[in-house]
Amino acid sequence: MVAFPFFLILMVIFALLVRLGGLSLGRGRLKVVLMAYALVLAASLAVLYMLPPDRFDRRTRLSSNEFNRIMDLGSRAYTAAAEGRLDEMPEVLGLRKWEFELDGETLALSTTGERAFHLMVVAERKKEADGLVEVTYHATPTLLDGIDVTGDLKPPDVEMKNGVLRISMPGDYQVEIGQFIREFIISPLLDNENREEGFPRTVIGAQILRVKVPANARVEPGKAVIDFIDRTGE
Amino acid sequence: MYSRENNLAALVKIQYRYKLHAFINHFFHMVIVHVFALLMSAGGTMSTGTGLAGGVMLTVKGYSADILIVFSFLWIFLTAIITTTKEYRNMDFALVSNRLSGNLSNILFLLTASLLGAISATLGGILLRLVVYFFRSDVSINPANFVVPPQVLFLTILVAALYLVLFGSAGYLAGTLAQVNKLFAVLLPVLFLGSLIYDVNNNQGRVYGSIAGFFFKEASLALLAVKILVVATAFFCLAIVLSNRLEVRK
Repeated sequence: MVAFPFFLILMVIFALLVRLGGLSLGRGRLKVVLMAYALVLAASLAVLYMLPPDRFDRRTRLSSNEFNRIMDLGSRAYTAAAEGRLDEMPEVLGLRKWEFELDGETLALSTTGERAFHLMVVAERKKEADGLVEVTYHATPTLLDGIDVTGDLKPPDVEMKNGVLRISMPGDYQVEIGQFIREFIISPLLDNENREEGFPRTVIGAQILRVKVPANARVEPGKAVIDFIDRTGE
Repeated sequence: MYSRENNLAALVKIQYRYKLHAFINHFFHMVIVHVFALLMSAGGTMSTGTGLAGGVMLTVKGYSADILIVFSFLWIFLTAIITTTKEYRNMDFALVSNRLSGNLSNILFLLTASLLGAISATLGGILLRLVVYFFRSDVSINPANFVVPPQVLFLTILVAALYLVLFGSAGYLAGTLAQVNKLFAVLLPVLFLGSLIYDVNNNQGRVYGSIAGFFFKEASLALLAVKILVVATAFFCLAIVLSNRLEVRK
């Protein structure tokens, strides 16, 4: 069915070309048009090799070996976070940090947003009663079709107001990558390298918000589902 | 004093030069076709790898010069048909010529057009890259295959030229058949489309698929060149023989 509009377009072009058979701009103008077109094509070749690379996508493509390495990283990170061992996993990235002063001894948590259920919130009581609430957003690599989009993950909005730590997750958003594909006439001659197809290439990484509270603080999770780790006894 | 071969070569040379100037319109048609194909390609030819993870919706949009190349095939096919029409054949009478020199100069013109069409289509692919780079600021470009190494550029031109010669020879044969008997002008498209539809409906397009695969899936450049040149030579020779019969008849 997809081929039908294409054939329709071909037929229109066919008809146009037949009509154009008798069309002429006059020899002089024709030569000018052809020369101008040739110049544009030649110039485009020169410009291509001089383009600055700032518009190029910097996301990395992972091989199957790298993919296997990070495939279960998310679930291991969730387990480690729940057990308070996140610092033992250097592969888990710390993408954003916040620090707030806590007035009083009670910290209430509030989570909102469409994707709040994607985020694991871990509250951790520190050894020190320093009056500071330290919040860190951690994530493990997220891959889509083998492309690492971890850098595209938007961290939650975190703010402190009247002893309430408000965590708000952003909605879904779109990222578009332009991929130039080799022309079909030369791809059988050149595309003999391993395409590494046939394995799942999407990994939804872990997203963890770690909230460190002072030793003397009390945490009220409200409706938020949190894991709690008490380090005061260590 | 000229030998007969020297005389033919000189005739062909004169006619070829004359036709390069007289048929300049065809290159203008090529520019129109290429600009149209560029506009169609600039929006991206397909989307792949779309998915959602962690709130990120990723769309990988494919760009390629495939449409430019396919339209070039169509252009050379039609150009070849047009060169066999009575109006164009009558141009040969402007110069001292015979049917063989007319055919050979036409073939030389088609070979030149194939080369120029291949260069234009390939460089059109480069122009497409610049269009996406400068005018699609919302798209982040994957550097793979964006900058084309010179050897890949030359390979693309060479392979495109070979295919254009193939399509040009097919068009020349089809045009000559239509000149031999006007019935072919109706019969050939009907036979082609009818058999294509029959093949798609009854064999999942296996017959046409294997004919296309014979050329388009060939992984060796040397073998591809041999296949195309043998078939194109056969088409051109058949067209010359048929046009000689046309001369005898009329």
